[in-house]
Amino acid sequence: MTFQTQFHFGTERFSYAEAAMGTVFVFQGTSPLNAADTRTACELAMAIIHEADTTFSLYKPESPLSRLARGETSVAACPPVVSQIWDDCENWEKITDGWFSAFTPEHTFDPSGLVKTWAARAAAQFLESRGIVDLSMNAGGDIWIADGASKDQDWRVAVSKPVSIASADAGLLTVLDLRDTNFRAVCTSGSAERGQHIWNPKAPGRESASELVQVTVVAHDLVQADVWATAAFAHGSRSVKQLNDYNLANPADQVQALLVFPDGQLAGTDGFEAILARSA
Amino acid sequence: MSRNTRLAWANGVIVAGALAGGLVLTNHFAPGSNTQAVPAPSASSAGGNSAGKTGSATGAAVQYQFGQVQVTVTKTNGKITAIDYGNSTASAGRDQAFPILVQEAITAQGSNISNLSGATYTTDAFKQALSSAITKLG
Repeated sequence: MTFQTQFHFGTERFSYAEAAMGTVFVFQGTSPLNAADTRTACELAMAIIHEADTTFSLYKPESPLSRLARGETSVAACPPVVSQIWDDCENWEKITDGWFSAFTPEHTFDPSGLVKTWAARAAAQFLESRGIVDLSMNAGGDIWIADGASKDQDWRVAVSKPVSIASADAGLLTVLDLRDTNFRAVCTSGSAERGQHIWNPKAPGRESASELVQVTVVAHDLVQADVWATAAFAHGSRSVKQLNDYNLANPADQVQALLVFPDGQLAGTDGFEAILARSA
Repeated sequence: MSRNTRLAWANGVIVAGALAGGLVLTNHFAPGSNTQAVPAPSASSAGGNSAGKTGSATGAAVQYQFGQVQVTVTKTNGKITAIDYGNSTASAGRDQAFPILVQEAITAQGSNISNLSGATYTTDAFKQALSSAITKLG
């Protein structure tokens, strides 16, 4: 099923939505450019994401990553970006104490947990370079807010209930307000949309993680939030202590998390309350 | 939050409010009352059943803790052109609790939140979320 690109250019704001990587990316904000140039900029930004997908998709048999997984090529023979992502993944594996791992239960390299936000971050940076600095982005449920975002609505980010957005009881779990904070990214990992797809890198057979149904992580950087959301989902309830300890050791680089358990209970890091949107 | 152990969300929306200097977390909706998630719209539209309809649909008025919400979605040539919360009486700042319409607000402006973070949805789920509250408009 194809998704038509949606472009809306109003008197105050624009929005642009396009499917890629099996999900939908949305850019919105205000643009100093005219409608045609804004649309072109969004298309070029999406081209960055499509190019990353061409390289890293494991759904495309002829992608460099698919060939790598089949042992038909080596990292050295792949485009340079592959070894860069490989290094990034190894680095994040260290930072998360092994709870994020790009190595599958089959021992192949699957960096898709990182590539989506890595490419989305590059796309957003491209739009900023074109002067579209009043911007927010929804990368398939992972949210990023530019420093230049001006509207209160862009700084408020809703968190979905741990159910599919297509289900009858879809709705909001909570709303965060990131204005006047250092946080720019909100990423959520969960089983609501695609089932249990996050493996536990420390389980004997790297079985699927199932202690939680959803984790939302708030951080400064989009990839950082994405990686920690994946890591915390794999780690389960003990990730709260892990992140509280991380935050004590890295006061200038806070990572906050909200965990949802299968019975509906919640847990969060010590700083999470502070970023909940306040009622008036 | 971890010091205060866990909180239940119980099909509700967690909101924070300041009360007597302390932070209070409350459920937005009563536990188990989840039926208001997608109000069944009543349609007043023109253009038959073909794609590219023009018209508007008004959802059922929904009562909740902070007041009443009623949403009117307007489509022009099959595209959402407006979302109107005109019949809502929710107290200021709380209309972001409106359910799935937030996804529509991504393409049609007018809500108080721009983005919804969730597990990576499929393209199909995104499309369904876009259309679920406005099915009567086709």
